[in-house]
Amino acid sequence: MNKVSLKRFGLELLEHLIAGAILIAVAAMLFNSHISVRSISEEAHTYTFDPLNTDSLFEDTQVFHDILYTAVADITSLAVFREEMEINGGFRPDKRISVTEYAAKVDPANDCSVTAIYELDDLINWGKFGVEYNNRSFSISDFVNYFRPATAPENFALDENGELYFVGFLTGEESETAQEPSFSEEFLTVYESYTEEQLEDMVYYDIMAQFPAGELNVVREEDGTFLVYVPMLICRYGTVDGVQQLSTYADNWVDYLQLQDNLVLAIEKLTSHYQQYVTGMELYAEGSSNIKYVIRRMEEDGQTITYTNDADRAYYSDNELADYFYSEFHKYFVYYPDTLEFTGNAGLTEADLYSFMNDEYAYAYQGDTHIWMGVDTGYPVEGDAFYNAHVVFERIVPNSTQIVLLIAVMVLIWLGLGIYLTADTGVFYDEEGERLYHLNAFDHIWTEIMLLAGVGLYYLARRGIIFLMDVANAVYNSHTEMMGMSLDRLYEYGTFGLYGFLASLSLGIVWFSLVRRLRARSLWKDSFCHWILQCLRKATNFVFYHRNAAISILVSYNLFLLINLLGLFLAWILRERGDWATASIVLAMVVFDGTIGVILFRHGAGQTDIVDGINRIRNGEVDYKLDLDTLSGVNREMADAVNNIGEGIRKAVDTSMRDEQMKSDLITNVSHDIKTPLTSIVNYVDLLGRLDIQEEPAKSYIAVLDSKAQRLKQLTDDLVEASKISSGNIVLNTEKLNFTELLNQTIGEFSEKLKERKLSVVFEDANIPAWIYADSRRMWRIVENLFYNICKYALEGTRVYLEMTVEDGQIEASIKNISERQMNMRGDELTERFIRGDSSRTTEGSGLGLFIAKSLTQVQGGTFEIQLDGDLFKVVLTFPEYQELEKDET
Amino acid sequence: MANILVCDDDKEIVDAIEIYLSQDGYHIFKAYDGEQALALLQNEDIHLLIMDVMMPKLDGIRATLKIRENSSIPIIILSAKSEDTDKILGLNIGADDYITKPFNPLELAARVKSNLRRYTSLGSLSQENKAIYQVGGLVLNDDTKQVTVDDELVKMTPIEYNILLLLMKNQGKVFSINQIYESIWNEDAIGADNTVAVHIRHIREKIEINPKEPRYLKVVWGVGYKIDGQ
Repeated sequence: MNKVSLKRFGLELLEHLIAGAILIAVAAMLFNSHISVRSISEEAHTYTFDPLNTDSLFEDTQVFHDILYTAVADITSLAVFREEMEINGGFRPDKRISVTEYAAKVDPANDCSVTAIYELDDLINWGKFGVEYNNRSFSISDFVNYFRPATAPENFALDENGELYFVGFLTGEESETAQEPSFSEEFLTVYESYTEEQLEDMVYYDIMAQFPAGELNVVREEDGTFLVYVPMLICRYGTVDGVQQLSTYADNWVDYLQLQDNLVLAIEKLTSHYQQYVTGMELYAEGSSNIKYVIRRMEEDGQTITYTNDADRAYYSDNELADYFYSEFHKYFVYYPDTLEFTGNAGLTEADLYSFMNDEYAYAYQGDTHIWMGVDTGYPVEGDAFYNAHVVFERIVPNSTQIVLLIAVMVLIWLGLGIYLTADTGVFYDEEGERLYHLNAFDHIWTEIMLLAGVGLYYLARRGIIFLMDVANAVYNSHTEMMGMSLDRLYEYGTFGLYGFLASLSLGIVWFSLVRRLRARSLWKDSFCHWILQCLRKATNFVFYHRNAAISILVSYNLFLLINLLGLFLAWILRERGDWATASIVLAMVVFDGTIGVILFRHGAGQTDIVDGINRIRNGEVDYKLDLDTLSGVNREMADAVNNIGEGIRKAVDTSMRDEQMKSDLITNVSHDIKTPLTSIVNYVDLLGRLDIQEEPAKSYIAVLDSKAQRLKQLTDDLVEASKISSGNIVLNTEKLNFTELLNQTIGEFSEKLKERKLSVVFEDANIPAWIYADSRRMWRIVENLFYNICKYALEGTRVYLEMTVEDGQIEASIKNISERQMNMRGDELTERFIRGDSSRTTEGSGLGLFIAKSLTQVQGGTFEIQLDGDLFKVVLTFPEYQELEKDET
Repeated sequence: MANILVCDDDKEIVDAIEIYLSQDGYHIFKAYDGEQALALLQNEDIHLLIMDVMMPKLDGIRATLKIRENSSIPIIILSAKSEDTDKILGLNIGADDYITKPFNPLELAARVKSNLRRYTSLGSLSQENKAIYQVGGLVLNDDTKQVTVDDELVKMTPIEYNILLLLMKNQGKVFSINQIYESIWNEDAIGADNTVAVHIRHIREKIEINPKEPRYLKVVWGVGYKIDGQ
């Protein structure tokens, strides 16, 4: 990483760290401006101070107002509960509750003629345990007559039409105590015309009509009879009379079910009220709350009941109380609903109080009630809602200015850094100061994907804020656990800080990439749409360029498909016409598809032939011609072209061979023409030498002439041979021969020459027969040339090593010697024409020796390789070993 | 002495050959094309003909064919054509020897001498002696243990003589180095290496006019050696 990118990396890191710090500061404000307050309903209420509203006193804040509002609502409820639970200012578990009376107070519709009286603690315990029902089933007859016989004639009467109808249970009840009822003849006649069952049905329908659907269930059994299911309360506790069964108090179903409902209502209300009563008494007890209240009820008989958490003032008169609250409490109010008097400065309105008293508990405030309440703004009692809220207010509000300022400064720095980094991103200057744009790997991701990533990040950020709010709420709700983690302060701030860091980082990645793309104008170029368009364009160009193929293949292919589809369609249309129509169409399709198949097969076969022909021509069979008559169409064109190419190659090969032949002939003829004058030169030099010439320079001149004439002769011979070999113009007389024997013979031939140069030959494998199939004179020429070379160029007094190995049907002979002079060329260069180990051409030799040797080796199916390693000169000859099989064939 | 006709279109070559052969005592007739040569052959008593192949008017090959119609004098073809096919052609149409240009004057003289001797005297040397082996001008007399080439005695070491005797007894048969070693030294051939090859070379240097192109002791490369019985 170079210095520039290191600097940028540092700045970006700083940017994101600042974002984290901003979030931490915000968290500090959030965490410290919230308060959680308990209420009578056990719900925790959360209140938030507005940290920016620094002017007001705590008592003027909405939080104070809300807390007071909650407290007043609680206390007005508490007074109701106290009335229900207490006798003479104390909780009385044995307080007697008449359930119908209680229920009727809550809702007059619940009134009924029977009631039951329970002790308060029994009802509360019952409610804690929960009410349970026993679902009992009756036949219609049992149901109707459950309490007492209901079909007695006293319960019935005749209407104006003379029809019998059910009057009600009351009739029967009165008749028990009165004298024997007298029935008219007419009535009795009608009454007796009804069966017992019909009478029971009439009673049954009357009962059912009085209850809403669902309270009683009627089920028709399989045998056609009806069963009535009645939920009957399981009586956990007895009444004060010691009666266990509730049905004892009722003599008919209507009364019983109403009584049962009233009992359940009383149980549920009182249980709920009891719990709020306990909480309220704790929250607003004397000495544990900064709010004081006095609630005084005027009963109709002139007696008063006072509920207060300031026992000393319980016996003050109304006016004394009003003076007391007015003088002692900074925030107070007094409310006399009966005279519509309302005074106070606590911020509550008369309507608020009216709704507290009349929304839910109107039944309890039916008499004249006077209310005094006040808040001690010195907050002498620690730990209550007012005190806590006041503490939080004092802590956050005076400091909020600084925090807000800090946040503002950091936001400015963040923005400034962001602007600088935006201006800087992707820009660098080359050596000439030229402005260049750089894109990293991320910037080449499709633009759409990047934008999608941006949207995804935005969504994640939204989710993250919800998560942060959860964290914050968990903090207000006092230090609980979340997702199994203890939310200590570090974690809470860390969450905010990390969120800020990550949000800034994600925004930075997407934003900077976007900016770089805009700068480098690659926003469009790197987009998915652009890629798709490019692909389409390329495909179009491809098809357009190969439009002939596209037309011939695609059109015919589509035509083929179309005809087949047409056939299927026709077959489907004509399926009604009978089998012959379908069959003929199917037959036509089979013939058509079969023909196409044969055409395709012949086309493919033709291509195979063409490929085969191309391969044969490539492998040297230049005379090969494809048979055009068996081909047609494109294949025929192709085959013709292949034939032409083959013909061209054949002509080229012929021309080149003829050229080579002409060259060889030319060299041969020239060499003859050279040899004739050369003969004269040689002869007359010789004659000169025979003269008795005594002058010293003349003698040495003659010697030079002699040697050069000889060399000229050698040169012309080698030249002719080399040209014949390279034109392929030699005839081989191959026979089976022993390469080892050849080497031994050659060593013998060269023994004198080797001795002159003090070279000794080491040939360990001199007795290993190595049979090859070759032209013996050419083989001799090869080895002779190599030995000539050795005698010419080997360092005097060194050894020449010969090796012969026979392995895997290959015969490998190697000849090694130490060169006298330094060789400054590669091994393969030595075998080129007119190349010698030394670049001067003064010594004898034509420079064709190694070339001839190599060419002759290759002509006879062997390989010839020269390896140079410093002064070590090594020739490796390989030939295939002679196989007896070949002899059998020949 | 013998009369030799030299025929070549290159006057200097004819003159040079005249100089060489005159020194050996031959009488030289000179011709510069095939027709002149044929005319001289008819008018003069010529014992040997040296003739070039490529000549104006009548070339050497056709001249040789013409001469062979009524004469059996030795004909030595002297040609710049050095291919095997040229030599084979020349020898097949009736030439007795073939020398390529440029030639070694000493070789030419030796070959002239050899051919003349065979033409004049060897034909009568047909005594039936089993101990005498003869190939061309090479004669080995096993009774006297003497070897002569064109009647000139050749000095040989015992091993060289025995090798030559083995080959002369079995004319045309190719002996490998090992076979020669085993029959001469009478011991196993292991370690024979190139002793035999060196001896063969020495023999060739003694009996051949040009050891590189031997007429008698031929090297069959990669196989062995033989005396070619023609």
